Amino acid sequence: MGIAATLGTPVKRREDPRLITGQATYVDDMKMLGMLHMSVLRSPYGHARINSINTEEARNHPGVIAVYTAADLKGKVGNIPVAAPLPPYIDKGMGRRGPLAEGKVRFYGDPVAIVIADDKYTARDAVDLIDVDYEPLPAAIDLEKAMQPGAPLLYEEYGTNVALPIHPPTDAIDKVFADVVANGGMIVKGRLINQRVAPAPMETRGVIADYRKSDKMLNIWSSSQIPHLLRNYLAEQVKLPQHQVHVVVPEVGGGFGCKLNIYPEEALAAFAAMQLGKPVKWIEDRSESFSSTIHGRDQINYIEAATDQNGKVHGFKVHVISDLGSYLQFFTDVIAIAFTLPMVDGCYDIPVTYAACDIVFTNKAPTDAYRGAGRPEATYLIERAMDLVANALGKDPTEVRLTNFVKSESFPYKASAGPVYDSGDYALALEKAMELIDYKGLRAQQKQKRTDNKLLGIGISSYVEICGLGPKGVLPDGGFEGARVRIEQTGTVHVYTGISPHGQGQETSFAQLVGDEFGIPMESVLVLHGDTDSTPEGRGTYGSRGTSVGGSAVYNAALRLKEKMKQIAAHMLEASASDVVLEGGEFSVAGSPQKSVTFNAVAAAANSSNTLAPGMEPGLETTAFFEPESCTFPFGTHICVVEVDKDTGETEIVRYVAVDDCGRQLNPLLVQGQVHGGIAQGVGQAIYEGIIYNDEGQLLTASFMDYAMPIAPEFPMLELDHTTTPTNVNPLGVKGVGEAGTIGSTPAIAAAVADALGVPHIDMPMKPEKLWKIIHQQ
Amino acid sequence: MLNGEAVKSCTILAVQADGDEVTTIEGLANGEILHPIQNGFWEKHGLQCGFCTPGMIMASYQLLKNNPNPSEEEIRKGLEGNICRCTGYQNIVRAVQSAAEHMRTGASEPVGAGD
Repeated sequence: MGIAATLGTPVKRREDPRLITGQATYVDDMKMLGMLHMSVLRSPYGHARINSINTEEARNHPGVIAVYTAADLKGKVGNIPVAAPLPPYIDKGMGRRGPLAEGKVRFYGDPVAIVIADDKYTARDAVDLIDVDYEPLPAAIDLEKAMQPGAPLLYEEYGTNVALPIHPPTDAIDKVFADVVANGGMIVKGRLINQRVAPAPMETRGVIADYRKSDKMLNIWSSSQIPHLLRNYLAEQVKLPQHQVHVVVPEVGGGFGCKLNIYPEEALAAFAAMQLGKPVKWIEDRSESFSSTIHGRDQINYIEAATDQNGKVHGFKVHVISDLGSYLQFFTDVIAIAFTLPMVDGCYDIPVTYAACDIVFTNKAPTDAYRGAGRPEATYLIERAMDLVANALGKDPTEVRLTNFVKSESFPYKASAGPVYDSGDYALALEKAMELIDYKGLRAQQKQKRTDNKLLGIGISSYVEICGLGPKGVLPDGGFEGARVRIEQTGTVHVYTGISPHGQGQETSFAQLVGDEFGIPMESVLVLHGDTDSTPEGRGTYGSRGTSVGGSAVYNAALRLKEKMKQIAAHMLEASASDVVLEGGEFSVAGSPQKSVTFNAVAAAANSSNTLAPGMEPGLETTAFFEPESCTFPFGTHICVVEVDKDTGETEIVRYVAVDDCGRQLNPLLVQGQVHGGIAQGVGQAIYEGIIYNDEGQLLTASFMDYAMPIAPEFPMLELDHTTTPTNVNPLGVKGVGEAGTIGSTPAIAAAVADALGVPHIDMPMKPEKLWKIIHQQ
Repeated sequence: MLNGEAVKSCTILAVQADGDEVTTIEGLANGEILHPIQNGFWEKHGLQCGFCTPGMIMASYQLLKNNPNPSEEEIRKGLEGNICRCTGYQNIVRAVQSAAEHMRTGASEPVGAGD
């Protein structure tokens, strides 16, 4: 008799009790004795010279303690960290800056000065008293125009806005294209816009910094996805030894990649706290979140596919243009290069692939990682390419996909764009999705004449993505993860993980993992994260790595302790360790279950030590670090059915089927939740969302009035299913699922709407007015 | 809830609430016993980061008070004033459906004035 195994079952979450009762602590819930408040003066211009800044009136305002500009930070606060500054210009300084603007402002929302005051209202009022003499400059807003000679330059000393052009020789792809055409095939072309979006977590950013001058200890509480990286880089930035900076990440209300970063305001709050010796709090308001938190996506993709008359693609050529925004945040410069370019082949066996890339500065907020980070763009461009091929040849899009899919026996598969995909069965996922949605029936239904004013469209997206970051070379500071596991004398377990969940649920799934491994109830396992003092060196939560990398570290640590416990149990049982098994929470000699010692008894012996064998080290605590040897490649097919109203241009999602393969699932409830949320963000980008600047760089979408977030009535019940193709990349067989829903969904909806209108392609977002115009022009 | 009706706290001046009864998420449970709506969100994984959750639960409370047996469409429409970035709303709808069923078939504790 033992504890029922929980892994693989839909267990409800350990996190929820505090969240459903209002007892959780987010950064803004925290108050400290003597705490001051910071407010930020931000540029109202997209591009301007700063001629002077007069802070006198602000400084003299009652309740204001200090006002700081870039001049005050000189020599005290370093530049915003960039993980991988690329040559030839970024490594020399292009795009780099300190936390406050110097000489120029380069985007609407660019931080110019900070006010520290007794309360947040005074701080905000005093910001309006700072007098900045700006000289507006022409702004570089249109991405392709920003690349041209004569465009307004953000960094004049470099003579261009193009931070890195990558244009390899085209001989190989030119030859393939010529051959295909000579043999009766064709080149199918497209220009795709993957528009700028705002991650828009429900909790905006926020930080509290508290500095103890006597021993120079800096404590930081931040709504962040990366406690250790934040500590490491912030320490360097404010010129403190790393061990004197302590970061605690409290409850975080969503991140989606935008909190995988080290922001100006974190360094500014730290600086103010260090100057004033009092805690300083900053909470971002929603309009600041829209203007000054990193944006996602923003690429223009030129695609060309060389296909024969059977729909087999022999060569694929892409030109990726990535809009960096005005400055570099942590991963800004590498999103397109490291994460889009390698995945442009998608699920397909394409013999020759060519990718060119330009990364370009414009007078907008910096772009950086947003759920999918470069892979949604890759999936979108290859899936649209396949649909354009199908459209050009008059073939069904599923037929073109099946013709070109990597075959299930080909894994591990090296894509011509570079990466080696670990495992997959793309045809199986597509066929399963087609069956679930009754694809043949839908196409038949689509052919029937309708009397209502709706247009029916069906869209397919077959995706594969690269995640589980990561192996050596993928992340500048290493992609490993740490876990410390301690078993106490009562038999209860503490798990300290270096990942930083903010909704993903590892307090539950890791308790399931460890509980199952030891045969103890998961209620006996406590999972802790977010505090750099107690957790081992970690790399945080992003890149669908929490379970695949973080969970593997936890698992390896648990296995190590299990081995030690077997040794101790063997001594207690007077047996040989190699004969001892752990089953149902009891250690016994294999074949003699009647003579056993409980898990708790062994834990007690280890921690009280008097009965341990001589030479056996007391205690049950170990730290393990796991580094995968490669990334993982989740995949799947989403099929979406839409009805577009001819009179209003509104799109209704009638059915949505998602068949996703994330390898082994530790908790199906959590997996489904990730897919639901990911799909919602993909739908958001396809139909509703878009950050818009005018020609002068004014942000026009700075609130939820103007930026359309998806709401509940806009979704049907999503129908989820899965295939399970484990990976050998980690001991759990888990591929990761945090981003897959977003990556897979956007092309499916885009394809469905285009299909409904009977056109090959429509750029996102597919807002009602845009669709209405297309319908009425037909 | 202000006197049992859901309001957005950011659009109510404190002086308007003078003498009124305010109930927030912290007041929904009956001691250790969670309200069926709280239980519904827990059972159905109706939350991930939790930030929208107090608002979603209070809005659901209002919805079910006025419509104890809502259709899926009515639930979605009833929650259109609350946004969530994590869940895609699916399990929130399931949570409300589950809570509605429990509240129709079992006893539930009244909360606040004006119920």
